[in-house]
Amino acid sequence: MAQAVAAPPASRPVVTRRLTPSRIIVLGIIAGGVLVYPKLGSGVAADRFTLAVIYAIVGLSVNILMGYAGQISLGHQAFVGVGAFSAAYLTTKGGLPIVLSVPLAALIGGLIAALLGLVALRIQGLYLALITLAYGAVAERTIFGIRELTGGGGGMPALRPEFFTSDASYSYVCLAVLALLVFVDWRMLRSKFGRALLALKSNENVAASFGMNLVFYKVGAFVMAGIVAGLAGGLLAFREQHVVSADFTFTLALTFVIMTVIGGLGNRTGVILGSAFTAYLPFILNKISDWTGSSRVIVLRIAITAILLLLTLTKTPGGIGQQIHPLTEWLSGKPFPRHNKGHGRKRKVKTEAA
Amino acid sequence: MSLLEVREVTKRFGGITANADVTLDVGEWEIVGLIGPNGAGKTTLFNCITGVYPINSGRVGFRGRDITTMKTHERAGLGIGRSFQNLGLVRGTTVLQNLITAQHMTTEYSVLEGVLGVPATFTAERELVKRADRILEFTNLTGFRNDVIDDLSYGVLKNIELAAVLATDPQLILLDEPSSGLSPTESDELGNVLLRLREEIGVTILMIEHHVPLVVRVCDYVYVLNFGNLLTEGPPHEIQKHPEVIAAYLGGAAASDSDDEESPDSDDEESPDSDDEELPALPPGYVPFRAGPRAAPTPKLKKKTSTSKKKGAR
Repeated sequence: MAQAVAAPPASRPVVTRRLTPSRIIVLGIIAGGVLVYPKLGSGVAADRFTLAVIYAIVGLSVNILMGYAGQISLGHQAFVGVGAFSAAYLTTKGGLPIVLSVPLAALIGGLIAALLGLVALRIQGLYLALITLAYGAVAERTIFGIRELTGGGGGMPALRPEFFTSDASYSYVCLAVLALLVFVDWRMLRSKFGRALLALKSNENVAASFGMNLVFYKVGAFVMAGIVAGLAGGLLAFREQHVVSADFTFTLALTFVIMTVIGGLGNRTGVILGSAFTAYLPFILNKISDWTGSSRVIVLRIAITAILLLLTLTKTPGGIGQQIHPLTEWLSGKPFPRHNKGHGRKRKVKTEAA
Repeated sequence: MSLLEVREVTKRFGGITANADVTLDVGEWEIVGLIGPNGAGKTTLFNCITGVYPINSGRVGFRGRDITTMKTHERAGLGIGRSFQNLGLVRGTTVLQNLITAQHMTTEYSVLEGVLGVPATFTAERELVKRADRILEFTNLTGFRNDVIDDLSYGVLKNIELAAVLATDPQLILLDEPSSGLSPTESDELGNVLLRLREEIGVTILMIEHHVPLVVRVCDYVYVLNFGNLLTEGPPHEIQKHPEVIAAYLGGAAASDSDDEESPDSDDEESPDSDDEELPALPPGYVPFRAGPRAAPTPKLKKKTSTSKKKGAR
């Protein structure tokens, strides 16, 4: 009888976050490495690094939809493509500076995504996946084919302004945008909007019973993802300096989804690492094929991606984010979680009340 | 005036009528039970009241206002909170995060401010955590604060769900089988919690419940649904003896020997112990509502700080 409904467990040790010197050193090495890397190598290395950063931004975008809101998008190449062409058109034809054309490209990406969001209000799951797929395919054939906007098959040039003509300096621009988006993503997840998306993913009726407007947040998730993807597209345009519609095929959309899943849906750090890895994979394989003298190594790219995807889905659903969880926990100032099976957040021993 | 008025609500799914002309009233400060065998349409009625399902005909009113065509989140905004049979919690997050999520409506900053990380949102977030902690303390769940939902047992989660519903700052709480998954002792404790909720926070409760001792103990009034129709209504002690209710629960044959079945365990198969079950005593000074004069609520209207704090936000 003495037992209460929910007997509270005995006092739990309070986890204190501490920034010890060792943590500062490790964080410093990581941050310093990322910052110095583009300057160290050749222009090519910096250019690859830029691509990895842009992929990381796309990964964050896909993660908003799939990781937080539980929606699916197989048409993400359309958002990125629209962003790229908008930025290229606005700068080359419209004469706008890059600081205006890229944010505008982001807004256009958001608008385009809002249309899909309205569709997502009415259909779910597999059907939504099909619609997004069709959406990407249609965009590929129609919008990207308008000669006036995209330059047709020849593409649309997008030249960098004077300040960022070198690959290294441009990679810092992209890095700055990524840093900004990481902040936004962090605040989003820790505020009203992100919590509503997670609730929506878990159960729509529950979310509504908490007073969340389903229409607003569902469309909002698409708009947010579209803005981020459009931004990535804009940055991509100025990386390539020449946007060609043939670059934005369904394969790219699939790559975006797979890299996010491998990184770990809902895990920011994991998604960034997974995306960067996916961007680097062809370059790494290129290197290997140079050493071995066999060009067949390139084909391994698909096999490696497939194996990683299978391993993620069957062994570690949390992806890279789950694998590096002990490290990120430690870096964030918590004690290193030892002897932890599976997801690091799980409690080791349940302390039951007497 | 009733707080919640359900008037001749009919809900059909294809050829099946899940609710047929159901009319019920829940007055301010009452605890009203909604009982009936499985498939009687109880949860469907909840879904009609909260707006998850559009109704075919009838009317739903809240505080004298017609809410029949309102969306679920708008009704939640008026102060209708609910629990779910399969748990109204956000999976994959901690108990604390769930209670913060549930405070969505009282979160004062806009979505854009939150995303951009405006300094004021950080302060607002800290307030949300504080209030969540107060609710956890009130519901005696502080020990589970940092546990992930998926790791906890069903019985505990039922209580956390109740805490989450409280966090939405409701005036009317719809509870869908709050005692399922609880042991008899635990459901006694739940009864105390419900009575305490009304006394200290001042909420009205409409609950679907199969555990008859709990219904008899805490409910002021009971409605019985059977095959979508309102079978009967009345104070719990009368309902308990009602031959039709016994028939509905135990099948037609049981109606004849109903005089043996007056004990509260005319529940479904789950209740293991029989006949002379001693009901736990009611809190001192407790007056059942519809039994006595309906006028002023006896308990102290003083609202617990835990929820009154943000009341003004509405």
